[in-house]
Amino acid sequence: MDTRIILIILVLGGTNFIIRFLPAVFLNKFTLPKVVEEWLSYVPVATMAAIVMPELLKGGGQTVYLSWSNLNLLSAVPTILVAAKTKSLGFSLATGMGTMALLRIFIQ
Amino acid sequence: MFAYQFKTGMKKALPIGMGYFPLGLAFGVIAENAGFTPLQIGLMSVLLFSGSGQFIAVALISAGAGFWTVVFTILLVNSRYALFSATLSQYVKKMPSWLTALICQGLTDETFVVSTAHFRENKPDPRFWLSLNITSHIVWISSTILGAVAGNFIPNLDSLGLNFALPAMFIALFFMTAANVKAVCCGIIAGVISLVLIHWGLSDANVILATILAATAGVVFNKWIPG
Repeated sequence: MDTRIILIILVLGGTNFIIRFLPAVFLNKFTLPKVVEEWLSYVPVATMAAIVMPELLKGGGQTVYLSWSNLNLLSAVPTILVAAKTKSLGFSLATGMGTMALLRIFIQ
Repeated sequence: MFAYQFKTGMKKALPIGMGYFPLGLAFGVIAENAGFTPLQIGLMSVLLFSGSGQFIAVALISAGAGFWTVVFTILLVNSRYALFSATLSQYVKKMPSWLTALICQGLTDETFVVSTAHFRENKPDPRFWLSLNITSHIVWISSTILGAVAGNFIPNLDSLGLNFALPAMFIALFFMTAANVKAVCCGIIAGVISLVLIHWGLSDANVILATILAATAGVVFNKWIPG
């Protein structure tokens, strides 16, 4: 069992290194076509939204849980305002975690 | 100059570390309870260095999933790194491959966004880049090991709002990458597609599929909508 887990971890590390490294090192020999560059420019913002939107909306066993008990959604409101205004990782984290901590005290 | 770049990298890694620390602790606790040793947990954090990827890997392995199921699921979940890596190709043109390899091992959602945001105003400096990535990586590795070793002594982390660290981080990353109104629209499209895919039960492939579809929609709309 132990060697199997170590083996899985090694293979996970190796395969993930390949997808992190190969595109950067192979594509740097070419100039990418404009349309590919434009497509790639949308990738980060799309990825972040695709990860976070379901996280904020889910709850109560549902994909979309619009309720005052959805603390993630409530905490997201001030976090979004601060993040949009400051574009700062630190301020957004502090706002989000602070709001969540307060909500947990008052709502639960 | 070396010290300046190095310090800037560490400074920029600080908020990333603030987010990684609670997440890493939580991961350590969960993985330890699932039967992983601190050594295995540390090794995973060194080699895989992926929050969502590691949580899913531990869940799958402890549920008894097959070897290749685990490997391919994590590749699918992390396939966005390949797209980020393609974007990085323009920044690593003048760097030797070993340096690119070292930098790419530290590629995560957070380090990617923070470094590329920095390079909009500064030249891509490998000292800054390595310092940013390695500092973030060290925080991740040490917090996961700490969670594994000291997990049972840590009070309920959720009451401190730590369970919102990850969503808060991604909200910030969203606004850091949303350069204009079109990008915001593209993000919203991605979010909605992602929700629909999860609703259909595609919770491993939702991020990569939503990203590919929304980025394509962005390019298509940009052709039609001027300005």
